[in-house]
Amino acid sequence: MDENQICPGCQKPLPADVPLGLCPECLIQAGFKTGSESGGESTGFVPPSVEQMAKLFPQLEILGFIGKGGMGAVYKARQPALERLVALKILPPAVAGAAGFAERFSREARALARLVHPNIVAVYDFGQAGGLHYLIMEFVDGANLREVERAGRLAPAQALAIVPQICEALQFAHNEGIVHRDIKPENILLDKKGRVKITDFGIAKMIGQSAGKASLTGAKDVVGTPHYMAPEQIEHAALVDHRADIFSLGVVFYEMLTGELPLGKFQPPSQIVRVDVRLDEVVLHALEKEPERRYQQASEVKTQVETIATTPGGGRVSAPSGRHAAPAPSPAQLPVTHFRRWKFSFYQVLAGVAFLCLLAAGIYFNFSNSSAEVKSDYIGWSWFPFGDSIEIGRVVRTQDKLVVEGRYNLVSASNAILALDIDPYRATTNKLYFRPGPLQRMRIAGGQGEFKLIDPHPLPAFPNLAKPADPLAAVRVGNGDRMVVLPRVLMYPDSNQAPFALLYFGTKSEALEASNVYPTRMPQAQARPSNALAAPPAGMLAMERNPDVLRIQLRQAEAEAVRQKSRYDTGVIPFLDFLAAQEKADVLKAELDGDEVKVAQVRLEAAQRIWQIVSQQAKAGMVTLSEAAAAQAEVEVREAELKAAQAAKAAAAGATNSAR
Amino acid sequence: MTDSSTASASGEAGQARVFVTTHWSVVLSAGRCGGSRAQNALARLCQTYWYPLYAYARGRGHSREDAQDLTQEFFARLFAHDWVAKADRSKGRFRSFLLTALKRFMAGEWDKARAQKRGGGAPLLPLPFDTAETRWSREPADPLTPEESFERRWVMTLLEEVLARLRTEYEEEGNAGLFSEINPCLVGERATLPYAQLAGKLGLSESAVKSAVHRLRRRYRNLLRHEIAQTVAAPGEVDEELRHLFAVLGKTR
Repeated sequence: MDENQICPGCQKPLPADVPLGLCPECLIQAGFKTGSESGGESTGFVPPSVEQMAKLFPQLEILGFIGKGGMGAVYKARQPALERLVALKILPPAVAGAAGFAERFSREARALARLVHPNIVAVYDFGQAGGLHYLIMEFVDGANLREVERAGRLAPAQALAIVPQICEALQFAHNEGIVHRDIKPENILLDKKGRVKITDFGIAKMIGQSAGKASLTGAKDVVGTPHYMAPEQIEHAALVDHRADIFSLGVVFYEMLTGELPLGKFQPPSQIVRVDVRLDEVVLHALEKEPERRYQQASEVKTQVETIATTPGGGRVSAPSGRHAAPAPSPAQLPVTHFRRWKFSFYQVLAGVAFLCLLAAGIYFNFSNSSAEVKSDYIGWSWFPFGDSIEIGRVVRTQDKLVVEGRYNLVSASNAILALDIDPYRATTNKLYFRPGPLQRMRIAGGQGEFKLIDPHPLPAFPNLAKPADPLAAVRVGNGDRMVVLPRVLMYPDSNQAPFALLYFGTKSEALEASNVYPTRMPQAQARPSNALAAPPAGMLAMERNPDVLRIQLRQAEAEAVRQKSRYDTGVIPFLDFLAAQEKADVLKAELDGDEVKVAQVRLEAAQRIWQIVSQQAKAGMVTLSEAAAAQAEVEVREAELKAAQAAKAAAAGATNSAR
Repeated sequence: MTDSSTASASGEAGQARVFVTTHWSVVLSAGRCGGSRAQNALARLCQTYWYPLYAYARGRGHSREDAQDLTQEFFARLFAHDWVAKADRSKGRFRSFLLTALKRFMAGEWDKARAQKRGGGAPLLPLPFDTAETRWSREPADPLTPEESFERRWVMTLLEEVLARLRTEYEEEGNAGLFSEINPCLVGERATLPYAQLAGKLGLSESAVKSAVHRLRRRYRNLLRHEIAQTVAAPGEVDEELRHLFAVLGKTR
């Protein structure tokens, strides 16, 4: 037991009972996720635990840790006296030790306190505690733009709603003589009401950018994230003015629209995604290398963007205006309430939709025990972002079966699955889900066609449920909950993916039921389905060739797979995550070939690869047996899908009336 | 495909993939009489972290034999009864659950159990008590409360477990020698090794040594995070647990 041993990493003495003679503190610290493992990067800053913070800040209730960046660590807290939530931000001690820091810190904090604006995170207080410099700021209940981008692809229309708010915040700060210097998606917060809030104003200045490229501790991200920094910020930081923020805004805007960063020779957004060509100009103007050539005021950017957003179809590719856009991911992915501030309150739209009989009014409702034909009112939600649509013409429901006939128009892909689905909803508790059997599905090819879907078992199989006269009526289950059964037809690319279009149908009373039942599942806006079938709606680009979309998606998926691979190589993500990204790209490639059998094959192979890995991990005891069983089950499911695809291919291709 | 109307499972959110279930989360979600899966998970956890319990008992003044009996009996009760079901889920950490359960056990039931000889049935878990005793006697005498000691031992047990696994992996690959040479670099970026020397010793190029070090660090981090994840209720809590363990170590200086 050599008392004199020192750890080469942290220079502290080693206790006697350490494993392998390695310093336990350093070993634990090595467990944190760092951005990369390139040398000299880590600041060694371990944010204090919640208990330690509680001791340092007895006047606050520390509720939890929110996140850490190069600029410090943020905690959620509560001021008991004022009964409000705040964000408590502490700066890394390494940074605070620099000369002149304390003075810069107070000066900046006072300047920030002047920034009172609805789109800027307010600073309430600042000071020092236990050797740590801290700021107490407004708490924003929501997510930052990076998280939102990751959760689901931001539709261009949403970007067009966010950017003007950023501009307002920037203009206000610039008028006060304050430059942010570190505009990036992590610093742009979105609260649950859909408001944008910019945070970390002036932090960069507090920490001191006069050093230029190198910072005090060598940590690159202390001086602002390079990708978002204006060229003059990197080259001669002392000469930076408010126009640097406009550049960063341009980068953020570009990334919101395209999902990529504008690096090197980059393409204008309209050539990467379907957005208004006029936005290219705005983005490129903001991204000018020389500050003199950019927009000189953030308010100019705002004016331009708002003009484009409110005047439709200015060019070759038109941006969906706020009225028509709906996010491609299903509504539950993106918390819809983020954007409720937009044009319509969803109740308005729902009411409008439910009671405007938008579809061909077919047949009147005849109640009889044996069969009943339902007037096919449009009662729910539809996504027609790229012109796809479903129209229901005739619905027959009896105790034995449910028959739905109609027409579809698939324009954004070369094939899809059309399915009749029953959405049982427990009206007072959680939603229940129901996986329809193969008889209710059919493969369709792109273009227009007619369909007839038959469901021989319209009621979900719940025990102790007597079959009512109307198989789709609301029923009582188990503990007395009311189960509302809502039928729908949907069109989607493959299992577990978001649909192209989805249409609930039923009677007026079911419409009312639906509006009670689905209060938060409303996407922003509706396309008008009755227009959709004639031709792609005016102002929306009709797809010239479906493969183009696939090619773009494939390119994006391949880029993502490459990104995931490098993240796997640096140990940030596990192998299975990387495999998932790879699988996506492979599936898209197979879809480009237009071969459903190939698609099913690729998916099956991916599941088999995963199963191999998981079974090895199970042997090593690194995953539970249930996870291994799930992986194995997935292989079996995909084998069945492959067989189904092969059989479907054997049967006549294209839209048919046969439900097998 | 009703999934399409809910959070679709392509995992883009980067959060819960299909396969993320940790031992402790399995146990917690199993609730009452969770079944063999939960029992297995609990057994796995106990098999790793039993030493801090034994040491706690010894530290509270029990003799070797008593501490052994106590530990075994504690586990017997843990599996037989529903202590987990009563666990405060909001706390979420196996570490705190275990200590609380042990203290309760020692305060109440242990005395009763001692009165009646434990009868019938072999011990549930094969625990190497001899090595535990040796280890306990080797521990430095720190002025810590028994709870702080427990936590400190917890960290040490965790690290030993992870390092042992890591070493085993390398041994199975036939790289035992490599591991013993480069493991000092695990203590972080600043610990530099003389790559040139190592390269000569191991018969590898310098860049091969560097990438071996890189791979070792990455593998270690994944194992450490994985192991910690087993003891928390949700994968998102790993970082908070890491911070807590770091703070625990800080107390002993």
